[in-house]
Amino acid sequence: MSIEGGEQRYTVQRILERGAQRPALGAAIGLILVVLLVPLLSVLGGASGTFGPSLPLFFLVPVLLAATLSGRVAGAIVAVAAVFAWDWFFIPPLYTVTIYYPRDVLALFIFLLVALLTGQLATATRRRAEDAMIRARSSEALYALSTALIAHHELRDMLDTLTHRLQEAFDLRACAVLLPRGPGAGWHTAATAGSIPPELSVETSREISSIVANVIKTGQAVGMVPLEPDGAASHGGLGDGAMPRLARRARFLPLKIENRPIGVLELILKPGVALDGEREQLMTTFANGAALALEQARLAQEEQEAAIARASDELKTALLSSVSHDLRTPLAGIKAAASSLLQEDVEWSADDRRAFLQDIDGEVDRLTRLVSNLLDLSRIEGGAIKLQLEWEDPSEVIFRVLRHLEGPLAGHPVSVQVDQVLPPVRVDAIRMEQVLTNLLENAAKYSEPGAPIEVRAFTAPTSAGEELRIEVRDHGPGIPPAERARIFDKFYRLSGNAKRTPGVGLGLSIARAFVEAHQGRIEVESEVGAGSTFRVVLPPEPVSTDLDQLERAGDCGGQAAAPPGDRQKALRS
Amino acid sequence: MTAPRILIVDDEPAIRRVLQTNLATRGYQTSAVETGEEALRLAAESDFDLVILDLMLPGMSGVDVCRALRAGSTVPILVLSARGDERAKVQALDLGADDYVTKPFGIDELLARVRAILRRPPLAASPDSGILIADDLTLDLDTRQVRHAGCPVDLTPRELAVLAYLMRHAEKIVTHRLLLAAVWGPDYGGETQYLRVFINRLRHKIGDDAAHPRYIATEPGVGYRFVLPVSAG
Repeated sequence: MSIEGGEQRYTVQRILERGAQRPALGAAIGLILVVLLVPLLSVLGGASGTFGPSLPLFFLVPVLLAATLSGRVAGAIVAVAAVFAWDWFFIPPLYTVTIYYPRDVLALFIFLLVALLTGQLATATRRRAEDAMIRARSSEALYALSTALIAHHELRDMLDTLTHRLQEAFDLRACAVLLPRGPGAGWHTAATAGSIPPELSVETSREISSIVANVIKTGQAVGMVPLEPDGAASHGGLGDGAMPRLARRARFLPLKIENRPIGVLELILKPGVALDGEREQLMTTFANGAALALEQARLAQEEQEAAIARASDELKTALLSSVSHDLRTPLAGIKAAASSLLQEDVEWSADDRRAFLQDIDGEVDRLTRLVSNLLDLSRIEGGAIKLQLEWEDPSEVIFRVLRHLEGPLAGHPVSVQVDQVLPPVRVDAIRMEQVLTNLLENAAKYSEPGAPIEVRAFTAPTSAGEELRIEVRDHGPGIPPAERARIFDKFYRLSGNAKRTPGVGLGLSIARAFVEAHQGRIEVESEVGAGSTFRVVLPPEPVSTDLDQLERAGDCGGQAAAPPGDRQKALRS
Repeated sequence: MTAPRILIVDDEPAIRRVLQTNLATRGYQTSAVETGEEALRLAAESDFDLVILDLMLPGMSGVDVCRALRAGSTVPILVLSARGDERAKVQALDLGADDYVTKPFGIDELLARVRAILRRPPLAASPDSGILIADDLTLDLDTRQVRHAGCPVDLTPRELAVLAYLMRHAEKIVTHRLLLAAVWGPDYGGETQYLRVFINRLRHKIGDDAAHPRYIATEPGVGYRFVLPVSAG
């Protein structure tokens, strides 16, 4: 179907609809046409019999038009007017109602009959055309709805689409989907199109919520019901008196799944518009489709929630077992060494005693690192990382970490290559140390004993200035490309290593969270079989040059070294 | 008599060090390895009197090591297990591990277990003959007679079989599954409730008491252990 065709159809439709809404419009157009016909036919010699018996045919045109536009009542009015005009202007004696010849009386009578019948037929045709159009529009809307419902997986989007399509297809003032909040918790408007006046809203009107509850209980539609053939609106089932007054402006259709109502469709009609049987039927079809879609969406959502719950349960179990293993291992070492020292039947040599104490000391450090990682994780999860930013010398941070990690790094030759003149960085020293600790621990953990570890720190120029890079390179098995993106995820363990190497899978995710909190980034380069390089990149510190100024300002008593504006900036930093 | 040789299998250096120092001080000869693979290689090369085996090993699991060791040897195995890892522990014991110690353990407890296992007489060459003695209790496998403090005890054939099995494996933890399979046949294995009643009756007949067991001790959730009197060692 071409676009023009569609537009044309809609134009005709709009005129028809406008006519239907205002019966006077059709009648008025018909009457004006009648009035115009009289001088036209007179000029052409209508009164002197030029047209012969075909003259009344001209008067059928306005009748037909009025009936088509505004129905049979308008048609009948115009028909009577046409009879009068014909008699007055064209039937002798002219300009009187009186008729000389009986054949003219018969002709007038037959004309009236034909005009009324034509009007009736035109009205019926019009209604059929209208129905066909509604059907076409509804099936179009239904099709659009079903594609939209397939496209949207979110319940909210689905409901939005549904209400908007309904409003469009049935030319409603407003439309809403009402769903239960929970058992016994009342109703809420899950989606709307158009605006629902407060007296018709289930949230604000007690009357409406009792109507909705009744619709759910009985499974029957309530409110404005189909136009009867005589054109008067009647109110379904309930008598006028029993019918809640407000419901007459709205229609409440149950959304049913296998005859079980799961929600209510509220339709608010434009003033003066009623639903006929055909539209009612279509709306029910709509409502059923909507209910099905709703149910599907609900099931999908439930399934998703269940899957999430399962996954998080699995995660908790995995976390618990790996955390408890990681906690227990150092505890076992501590307990064994301490209980050895407490033995009364042996006199330990000084060396033995020292070895036991060293074991205890090392294991306590290990426990501390694990516990601080867990605490960090809970802080990150809670969104409560507060950085204590201080100016630090990067190489100092690196060497401090290496000193702390002497135990775990024993057996791995560590080479350190740090640029002579690294600019100071504003970092949270504890957090940065944790980042490097986690990277170095991983490097040791994931490579064979004796494999070297290299640490480098240098600056690299970028458009914004010199950024600081700290690299930790190992000669371990490397990380398969498919897993590189995921190693920074919480609890993610390399598939091949999860069994071999103890760990929780927190180190890298914590490192990333901390680096990102510093506006930096963490990267990995890896070659399977050759090793991996983890790189912490800290952005150029925009105020680091100001530090020099601050320094100088202090040296010279804060007077001449920097212009006042710059000094302010420096102090603010 | 040469010093008993003990093989330690644990991936934690601190545990290996502490165990070696302690055992060596008590006069045992020790070897320590990190992985199950190394343990199996070493066990194949030389004879050990005891293997102390951690269940949480990188690579080959402790349970697999246990299975592989049992395939060709009766060397006693003392399992180091973690709380919360009961399944692996029972699996190892079902496979024939002799005893377990839960991490974190005090060194006293571990040394006591080591002594108890090493005190145990080696299994009799023939399971059907000989006389088993424990304190006041005597079981003659040939005459199928049991005496307690000199008085004959009347046991059903099944009770006799259970007692004989437990006594032959004195100081070893016999899991429910092992005991049921050995006495009732391999099709039995889940009827631990029945076993509980059965063992209580047996205890009563041999003058034992579940609350203060002298012979048959219960290992909660795992099985039973026939306790050898300390003086016998």
